[in-house]
Amino acid sequence: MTDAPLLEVRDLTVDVIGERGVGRAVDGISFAVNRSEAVGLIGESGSGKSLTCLSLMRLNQAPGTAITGGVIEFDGQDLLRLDADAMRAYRGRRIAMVLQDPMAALNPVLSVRDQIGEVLALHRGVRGAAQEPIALDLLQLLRVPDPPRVLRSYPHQLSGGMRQRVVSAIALAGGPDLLIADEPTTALDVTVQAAYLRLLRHLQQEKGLAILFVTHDLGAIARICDRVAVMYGGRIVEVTDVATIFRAPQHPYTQALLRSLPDVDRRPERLEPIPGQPPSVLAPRVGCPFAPRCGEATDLCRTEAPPETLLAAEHTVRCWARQAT
Amino acid sequence: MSTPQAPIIEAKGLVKIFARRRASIFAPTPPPLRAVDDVSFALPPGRTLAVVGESGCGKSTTARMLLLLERPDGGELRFDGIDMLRADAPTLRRYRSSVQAVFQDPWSSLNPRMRIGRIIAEPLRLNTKLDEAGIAAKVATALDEVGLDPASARNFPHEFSGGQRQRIAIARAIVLRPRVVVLDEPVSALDVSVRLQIINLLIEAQRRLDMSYLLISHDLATVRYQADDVAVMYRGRIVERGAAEAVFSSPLHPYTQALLAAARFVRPEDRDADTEPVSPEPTGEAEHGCRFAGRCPAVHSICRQIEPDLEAPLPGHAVACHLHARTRSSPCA
Amino acid sequence: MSAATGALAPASRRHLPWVALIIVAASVLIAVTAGLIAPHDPEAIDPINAELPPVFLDGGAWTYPLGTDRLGRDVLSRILFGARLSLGVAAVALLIGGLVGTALGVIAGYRGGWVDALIMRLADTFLAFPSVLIALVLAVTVGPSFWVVALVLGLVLWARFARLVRGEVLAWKVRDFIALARVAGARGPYIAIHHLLPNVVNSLVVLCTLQVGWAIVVEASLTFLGAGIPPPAPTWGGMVAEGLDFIETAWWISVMPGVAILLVVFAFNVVGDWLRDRLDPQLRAV
Repeated sequence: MTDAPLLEVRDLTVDVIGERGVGRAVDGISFAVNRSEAVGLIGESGSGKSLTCLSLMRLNQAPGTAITGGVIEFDGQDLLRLDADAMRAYRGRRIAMVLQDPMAALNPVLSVRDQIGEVLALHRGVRGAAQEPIALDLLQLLRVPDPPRVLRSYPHQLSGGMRQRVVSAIALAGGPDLLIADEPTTALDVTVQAAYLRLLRHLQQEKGLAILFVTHDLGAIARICDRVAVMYGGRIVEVTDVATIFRAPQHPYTQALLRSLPDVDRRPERLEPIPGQPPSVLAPRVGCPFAPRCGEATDLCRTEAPPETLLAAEHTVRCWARQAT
Repeated sequence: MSTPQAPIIEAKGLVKIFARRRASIFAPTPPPLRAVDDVSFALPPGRTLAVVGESGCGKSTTARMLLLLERPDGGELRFDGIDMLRADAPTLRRYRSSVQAVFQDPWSSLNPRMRIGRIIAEPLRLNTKLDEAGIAAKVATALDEVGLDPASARNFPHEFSGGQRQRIAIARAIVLRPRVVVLDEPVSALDVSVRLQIINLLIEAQRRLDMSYLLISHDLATVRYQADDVAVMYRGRIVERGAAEAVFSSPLHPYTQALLAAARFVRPEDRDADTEPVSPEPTGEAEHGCRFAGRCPAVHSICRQIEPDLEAPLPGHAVACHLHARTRSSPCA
Repeated sequence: MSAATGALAPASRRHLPWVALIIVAASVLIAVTAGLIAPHDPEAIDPINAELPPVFLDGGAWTYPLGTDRLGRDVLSRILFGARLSLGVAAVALLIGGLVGTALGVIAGYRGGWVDALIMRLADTFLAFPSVLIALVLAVTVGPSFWVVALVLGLVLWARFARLVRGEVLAWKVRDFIALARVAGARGPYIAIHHLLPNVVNSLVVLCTLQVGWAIVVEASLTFLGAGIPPPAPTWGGMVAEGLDFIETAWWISVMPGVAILLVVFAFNVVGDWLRDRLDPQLRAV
């Protein structure tokens, strides 16, 4: 992977305007997704991860959000400079998206065949009977059992796991290079989750699909991602490869989060929780967003935002207590 | 730890049947759904029994029957040995004041128009004859017990974050000093970094106030951390039941094994060696026999014919699976 | 970007609710204090000064700022007292309809099943009644009066309230705090009063405000048709009707109360819309 990244985000800033003021929900974040790489974006609600996703697709129509700065470069093209028509050529065609609730993503009155066909006609110019074999292949690719039957089905006739596979098949129908998956497993049952994650990994490995996997679930990250970006309070606080994030995390938030996760294979006497609450999006931003909950915070952390520090190759962290010397 | 004490609550053969809607006006009416089918368990004092399973397995319906929010279509619900489904009003009142609940969504469980003080005071007003000063004192104590400033009694729910709201819900649940609290997914709606605070708070409150918990959850890691006993439900039935330690370290039912495999933390180094334990979709709907047969990797012909009973091959560890049936020497009979 | 719609809205959209609010407040104040501020007795006849034009036309005088009708009664005083009758009828009708409708709506929504079906079919029936026809029948049989008009309006209003409240209750009753109240031992009436009603109040306020305009218009129509409040009581609808014969020679007799109806109804509707947007975005469909 020597060529330029497929997606490069630099200094992306997204503001939300609420009833009680303006908040910086995404505060100058930068990250990259290489071709056929699976990158995890992990964070909890209010960390800005979902807003980041929507911004990549320029879909942040939620009332009162606005991209106020930065560059989103996809395959050399700054998406923020495209007009609406040009953007549509990327959305669905080159960048596809899968969201948390598959039922909301499907049209209840159209059959699976019609919904895949719609994308094929729109993005690949395939119409009529020619759609059928491609649609069947897509369902096969997503390991849907009995594809001809599912193709004729309507969303309500499918289980949650099958719906998410159908949504993914629709997303992949345009032949995208990048799949943005925003909490795609959260609404699924555990046994179904594992199978879906295995499938995404297979697509990435075998078909060279790049994936931006957005989640709050560290277990899911471990199952499919190559690299991980940890978001907290609108900032990316740590970026590294997936093995390091679990073996030797550096940011105090990442460390505390991993320490506070119960494990199905062990029963410790007591796990230590992270004190306090996640910051509100509308709260004024001074210093490090994690400082109020951090055991290592100093006065510096509370007054000045830490810069990005390169700790090792491919491992950056934003923390005053983790400055490379 | 496992000294046999008389259970506070004992469920015996609980059944709940729901009529199902037709998929469309042209479709035939589907047969009624046995959402909870012959479910039995005992809740001993001071312990946590977790009912785990995936969506639609009947765990929340079981909780709602225990809370008398759904009326069972069969079975018994014994409280100190008396069946609450056939009890008189005073007995029921005593039961209601002894059994409280914390639900999943802290945005839905607090009335947005009520101040925190009134929300927490409600069980006291409905069940005790305390005067205003007495109520205020108990509310302040409860808020203090869940780690909130007693002055928050004057605030409204929208002024609090999800984690704080769940603390308020817990304060309300414990203010009557109940003997049993039903916890229906108490942390799954909360931020990851807040969940453990709430779990630890629940554990500490249980130890201090000597309460029993019925914990409904789909998150096995949390269950392992918090529960003493576990019942695994699949499509309305308990398929495995026993001490948490036994069920987690040596699961007997193939479904429990699949659940654990799916919930297990897989290290990135090992992920490609990880194999698919069960098919996520059942192959063919079975009319008779074991409900898991369609997905089971170890299915035998008998599994598709006869529904296995919940039996205990080991003391205190019961499973409903032909592979472990004591009476039959060979599952391939 | 479209972000700050609230702040960047045209000035007219931002100021309109306040203008409307002032009109609403003024009309209520006038209705209450009509006896104190009216320059004349609204029913006092002054034949010498009949059909006197308003002060801003030739021949007008400050004694009768908005002119006089064919009997020489002061149009301004009649409009001021008319506010009392029009708003009074609306208030009584809303009180009857609101109380009955809210109570039945809560019962229908909370109990569900056949109780719900019965109440809602009843509401549908009342909504389908031609209210003008009923009013005419009552006017002929019982005789037209303030109370007949209020009752007829209430007959329709209760159904509107019942529908709204039932819908709201259906949405609120699935909330967990209702289940938790039951777990704590609360029963139906307690839940209705302490948990459901406080959450429905916003919608009730909005509905009331929006229905005031409707009530005023219907009352004016009924009076216009002779099935409303009988003369010589000064009502806006009655004044419009009386003035119609003189519309070419003394247009102000009809137009002045017409403008009053227009202003007040418009103001109540604007305030209602504004309240709805502020208090309860879910209510857009009503």
